[in-house]
Amino acid sequence: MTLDPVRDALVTFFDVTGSWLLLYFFLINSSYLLLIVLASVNFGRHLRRSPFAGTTAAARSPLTPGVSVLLPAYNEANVILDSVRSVLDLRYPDHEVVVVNDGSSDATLERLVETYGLVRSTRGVEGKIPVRGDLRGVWVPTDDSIPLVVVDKENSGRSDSLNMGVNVASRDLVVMVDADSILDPDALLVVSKPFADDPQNVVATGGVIRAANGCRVIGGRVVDVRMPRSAVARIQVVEYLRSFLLGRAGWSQANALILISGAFGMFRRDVLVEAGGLDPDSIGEDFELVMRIHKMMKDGGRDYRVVFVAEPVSWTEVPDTLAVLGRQRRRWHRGLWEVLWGYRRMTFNPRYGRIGMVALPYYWLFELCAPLLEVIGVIVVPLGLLLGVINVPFAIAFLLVAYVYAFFVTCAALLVEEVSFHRYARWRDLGSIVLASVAENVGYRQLTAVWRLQGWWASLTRKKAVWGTMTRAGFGSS
Amino acid sequence: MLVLSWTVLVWTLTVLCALCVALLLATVAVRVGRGVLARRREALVAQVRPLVLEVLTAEDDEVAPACEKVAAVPEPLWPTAERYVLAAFDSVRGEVRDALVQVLLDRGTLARAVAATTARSAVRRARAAEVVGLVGHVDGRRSIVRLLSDPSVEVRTVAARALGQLGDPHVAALLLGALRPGSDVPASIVGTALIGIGEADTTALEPALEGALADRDEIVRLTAVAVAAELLVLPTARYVGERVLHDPSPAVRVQAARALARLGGAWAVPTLASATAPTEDPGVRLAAARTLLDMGTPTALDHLAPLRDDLDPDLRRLALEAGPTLTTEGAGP
Repeated sequence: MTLDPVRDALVTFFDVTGSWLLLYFFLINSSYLLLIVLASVNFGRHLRRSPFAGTTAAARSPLTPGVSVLLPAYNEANVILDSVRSVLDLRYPDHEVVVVNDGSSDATLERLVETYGLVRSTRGVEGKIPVRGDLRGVWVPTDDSIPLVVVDKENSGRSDSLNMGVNVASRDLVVMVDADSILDPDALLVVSKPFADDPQNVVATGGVIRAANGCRVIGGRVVDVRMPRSAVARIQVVEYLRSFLLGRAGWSQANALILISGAFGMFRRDVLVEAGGLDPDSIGEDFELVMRIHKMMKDGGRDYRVVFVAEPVSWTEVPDTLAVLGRQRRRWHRGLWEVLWGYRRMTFNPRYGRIGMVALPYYWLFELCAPLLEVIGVIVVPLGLLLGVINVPFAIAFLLVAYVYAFFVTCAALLVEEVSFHRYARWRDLGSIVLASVAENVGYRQLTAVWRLQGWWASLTRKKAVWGTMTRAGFGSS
Repeated sequence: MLVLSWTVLVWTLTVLCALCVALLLATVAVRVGRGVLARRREALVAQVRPLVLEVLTAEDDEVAPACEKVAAVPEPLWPTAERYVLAAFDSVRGEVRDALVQVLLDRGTLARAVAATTARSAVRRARAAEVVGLVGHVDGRRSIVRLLSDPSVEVRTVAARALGQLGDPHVAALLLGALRPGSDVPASIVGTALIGIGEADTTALEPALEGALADRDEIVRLTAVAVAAELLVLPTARYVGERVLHDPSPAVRVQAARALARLGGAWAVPTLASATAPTEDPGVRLAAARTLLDMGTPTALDHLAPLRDDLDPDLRRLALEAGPTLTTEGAGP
């Protein structure tokens, strides 16, 4: 059987697309670089002003807006006590903790009841946001100086649980955190500051997510920041640094932030209620909520801001096995596609300003399509090499340029992190990060590209979405 | 279409590799530099820390001798000692604080800070305002008042906070003036500053608050309501009550309804009940209902009874929380 037709097709393919693919790769990495530059402007401003930011004054002020911290929990028995304790102990003048137990089959509720001496309450949960899961009970501590409410309900998913939490929340601001997360002691103070500074306009803020794997946790506090042991988790540290920290800070600086992590997002409660809460049917519910808020505010012609605050950290356990990571990335990309498709009319629509004209096109072109192009490259380049269509040294040089540029972008991110927040103090950890940055481009990126495509395909073929389970190791606190 | 030559690729790769190495070296240099600075700073702090701690833990007649040791710190060490003392001011009160303030005054801290309030850099002016506020001496007042009109919003914000720390009630009207449209000084900063002043002398604040409650600017009224409630300025209670039903701004009406939880009494119940009327803004209705619930008196709770069948689920929930104490007697606004 002759391979000439395949060879000819490949030649044509490379002729037509080769330079465009390189241009695409150049653009995507350059856009990250631009975001890093914008982020460094954002960080510089933040750090120059932090000596007189008045955090201590805000911690004491009775006018600092109250915050309800919502913790949806499903089978989080291993981590729930550390998580709740860390939130209760946060430095903030007025906050309550609302844990929503989403029908856990483990001892999540029992551990809370026992530890905090909870008793059943007659407090109602009905509110403006419709919820699906049936209520089983509301629990409060006998010691009413502990600002804790535990809502026990039937299992109906994270979004529905958060919606119930919003209904129960009694403060003006609501922050959503994951039960497997640990917040820095001043996290609430810092992430709420934009609301205190501009209460009329700021509607949502988001903080940073960092990997807790490998960190030392004592008494619900991360006391020693360290790189994770597993290679998979280490590479995610690099990813999170580049995308979650620098990427979002860059978008926020450009006033075009469209994504706040569900693991650490703060909202004005009235805006959240007006928007209708989280969509329980959406896989990318955090992204979808922020997009809905953008649409609602823009359609209403209202001035508003969505802000990313780079300093307050939510430490969370990231997947440290490929199986769990794969499930997560499939879900994320599926969520990305569904939200982008659902809000496609905002894309390239000048009515939506930078959101419609810059952020959404970016996400379509670079976030959504990147894995497709990556996988095509992974298939056609080796094929081309095998069939002698590609000049080997040229191909190697081509690939090296592409991946070294990606590494360069990560090095820029590392430098900005070192100048600004420098959370990883040990030299060994800096070395790990650099090695992980290299390893990211050799297999990991390609693997995540395949997973992301699988998630996209699952959505296109209307396969039922499954969250899967994340096996928690716990924080192992003393 | 792009035309790539081998040469271009090799040069690009070489430049990229060089840039990567440069960035990594820069990262290492930043870390090393920070480590060196930190060790140097710690060495300096180690020399002044015991002296300052001795002041902070001194008993009555030990304060003066301990302060003398701090005052005698040699010039090269003084910036470190000054920073350490200022950092401790958040947790220091009374005679010890007064003694340390005198040390700072004698060593020229306030004079230097006042001079720095005219610096070209906004960051320097803001830091100077912060220091003046921390020192809390009346001699710094004029410079801080001037900074309320500074071109930089950060400087204006720090100046507002510093005025609160200075504690002079005569600046209350100036502080409220810092909330004018276009100023962008956060209302929470001004409010907190007023609360700080009012904690020392609430009576002196009353005229300014009464005027602010009738101000044409929404943010000023909002702040005045919040401050009046926090300081329990009872003479303003009736004015606040009027805001619940008659203020043109829903945000002010909400704040006023909440404020009545602290300022109100039996007289406020009919006002709050009226504010739960179906024609009122939903946020105002909710705030009024919550205040009635928090008041907890039978009369207050009775006015929640009609809300059990309200279309608003938040109000139904609050009415249910009032529980079996609700009766049908006296129900209705």
